[in-house]
This record gives sequence, C-alpha cells and structure tokens, in this order.
Amino acid sequence: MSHTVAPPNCETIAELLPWHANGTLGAADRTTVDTHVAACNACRTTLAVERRIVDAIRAPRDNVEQSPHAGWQKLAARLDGDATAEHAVDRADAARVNAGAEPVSIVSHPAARRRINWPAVLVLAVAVQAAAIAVLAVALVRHRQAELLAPHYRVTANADPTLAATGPLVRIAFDHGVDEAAARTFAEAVSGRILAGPSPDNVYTFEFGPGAGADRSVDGKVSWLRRQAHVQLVEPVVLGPRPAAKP
Amino acid sequence: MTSPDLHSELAPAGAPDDLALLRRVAEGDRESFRRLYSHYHRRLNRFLMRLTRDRQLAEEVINDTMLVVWQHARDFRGDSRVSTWILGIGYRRALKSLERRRNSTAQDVMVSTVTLPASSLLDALSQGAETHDWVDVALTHLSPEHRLVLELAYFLGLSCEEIAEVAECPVGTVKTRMFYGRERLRQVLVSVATPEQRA
Repeated sequence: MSHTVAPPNCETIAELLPWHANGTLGAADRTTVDTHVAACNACRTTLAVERRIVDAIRAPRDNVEQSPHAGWQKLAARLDGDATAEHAVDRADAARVNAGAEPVSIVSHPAARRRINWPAVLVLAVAVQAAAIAVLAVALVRHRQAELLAPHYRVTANADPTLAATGPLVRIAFDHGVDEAAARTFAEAVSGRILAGPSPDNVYTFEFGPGAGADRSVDGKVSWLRRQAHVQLVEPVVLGPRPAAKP
Repeated sequence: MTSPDLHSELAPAGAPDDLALLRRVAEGDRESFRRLYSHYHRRLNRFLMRLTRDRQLAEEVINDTMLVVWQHARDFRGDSRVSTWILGIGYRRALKSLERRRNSTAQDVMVSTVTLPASSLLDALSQGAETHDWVDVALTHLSPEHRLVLELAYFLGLSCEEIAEVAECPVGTVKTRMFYGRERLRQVLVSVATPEQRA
C-alpha cells in the first residue's frame, strides 16, 4: 500500500513565503514552495509582493554613513570611569545576557573585578570587625564602672505638694503682667508662700502660714488678694479627706 | 537585491574574527573592544537608523549595546554566533526605543478595511517610484514587536530560527508575529499605495 502526501495548501505556503523571499528557507521547503507557486497564481503573486517589499526595504537610502569615531569617543569617556554618566545602562539587558551574572558597576570591566584578592579582603574585613568588637567591649566595661562609682539618688518628695501642705490653701490666677518674683511678694503680704505654680495660665497655689499678717483670717486674706490689681481670681482650696497613712 | 546580512559582512583580510576579538575584550583589552565597536557600528547603525530615523538615538542605542558587550564579554558561552549575541542585545535596546517613541507619538492611522487582491497591490508596488517610502511609512504603523521581526527578516536577512534566538522567544512566536505583521503591513500599504481603495 502506498501513501501519498497531500500537497500543501495555500495557507501553509503563505507562512513560508517571507522566508523564501529573504533567502533563508531550507532546501526542502524552498522546493515545496517553488513547486506550489509554479501551479498557484495567487501564491505566486503574493511571493512577488513579498519580494517587492524586501527590495524596497533593502534599497540603498540617502543616509550619510556615520563614522564610528564620534560614538567611540563618547563610549570611551564612559569607560574611563564616568560613573555618573547620563545614560546608565539598563541592567535588565545585562541580566538577560546571563541570568546568573552578578551585578556589575556601570562601566567597570569584569576582568578588573576578577583581579581582586578576595582572601586578603576577607582577612582584612575580619580584622576590622575584631577591632570594632574590642573597642565596643572596652567602652562597655568603662560604662559599667562609671555606673558603679556614680552616687545613687532616690526621690522622696511627694509629687503633689498640696498633699504635704498643713495650712490653708488658695489658688490665685494672676494676669501675665505678674512674674514669679511679684507673685512671691503677694504671698509674703498674706503671710504665705508659693506652694505650686505658675501654671501656663499663670495660676499659683499659696499656702497661708504664721508670720506677718497672720492675724488676718483666711477670708480676710482672700478678700485682700481679690482687691489687688493683676489678680484675676482667688479661690480657697478645699481638700477632701486625707488618705490614711500606710503602715 | 543586496542583503546587508549582519553575519555575512566579512572582516578585512587578516583581521581577527569576532570571537577572537570578544575573547580579548573579555580580558579587558580596550583596543580589541575598539575594533569590535568599529566593526559593529556600521552594521548596527544601518539597522537602527532604519528603525529610529534619528542619528543621535541610533548612536545612543549602539553605545548602550556595546557597553553591555564590554561588561559581559566573558559571559558569552558561544552557544550562538557573536553577531547574533550582539544583535540580541541591540534588539532589546531598539525595542525599548521604539516602544517609547510609539507611546510619545502614537497616532491613529486610516487603515484600509478593503481586501485588495494581491495582484492590485503588486501593481501598485511595481509602478510607484515611491515604493521605498510607502514601505517605510507602512512599517512605522506596526507594533514594535511585529516591525522588528519584519525588519530582522527582510532587512537583515535573518532566518526564523535566528530571529527567535535574537528575540529570545519560541520559533512559533516569530511565525505568529510575522503573520500578523505582514497582514498589518499589507493593510497599511493598501491605504498608502492605493489611496482610492481606502475605506
């Protein structure tokens, strides 16, 4: 029984025509195309169109041939270490050339990289690292010694001075023309002292105590203060019951 | 028909071949690199000038291409011809340039929807003294990938397999791009070369 191969149709031939026209088709395919176009008018015409296009593309143009000299001068300048060259090479191209390649500097040549004495560089790196560790250790020991020798302080004061007050308290709001020295004068005038203040709003807490003017009552002192210039508000402070002392 | 085949242009008699030059370039030999540069400048320039029509841009692409050659000469494994390897690098640079240009100068084209018999197109291409211009204009209306396949095949005379190697894609992809590229080229050519047929 003999097998006969069906002749290629026009669709198959059409795929081969551009490669026939540019002269790269293998001998067998070329024969197939030649045989087909000899009998097929449409494919013969299409092949002729392909050839016209190839001729047109390859036809000489009026372009003046560029000398490579100027281009080489620019590239040589980049090779000479102008790492800040405007036209950095896209690394993607380099990566495609060899996916396993290490990244390289923009203009350095790999051969130059290979001349690096890596064992010596590693020894140097380890030495630098050891020196840095020694310096840090010395600094740490000195710091610990300084800590041990330093006097130790403990804060015993109560955070809220009003809790430690024994005399009557008033809050006084001065206008901003009264500074701390003037506030102290006011306090002394009513036999008191500044217990806290000033706040950002120039509010003080006075504690009344014995001394000059101690004969006046708290109300009298409050009344007197309220009449003074620069005093905006005076209010006695009423403290709640004191917490019992802890054993 | 003169093919400016990238591979077939011979070096001057007695000159070292591309592979020998590339081996020396891999060792950092600047003089060998200069010779390789001069050797490929003309070939790449003709190809890139066709694609870009911009002397400065063509030179930029050449230098970017050759810089990659300088940096990666030692990575060349010899699986392909030196010219194919260098052209592959240039191809990717050119593709980027064409894509950038296409994005910045994208414009609509009135393309024929008429199916013109091949014989009519052949007549138009045979008569016109402007055939070169028509083809050049028509090629600018192709996508960068389609255009590059046609340029590599028609201008540089590369085979389907060589183009696949340069473009780093399967042979089937090259055939597909060639098919659609030719279709599009014919449509635009009908519009350009036979304006009376325009839809």
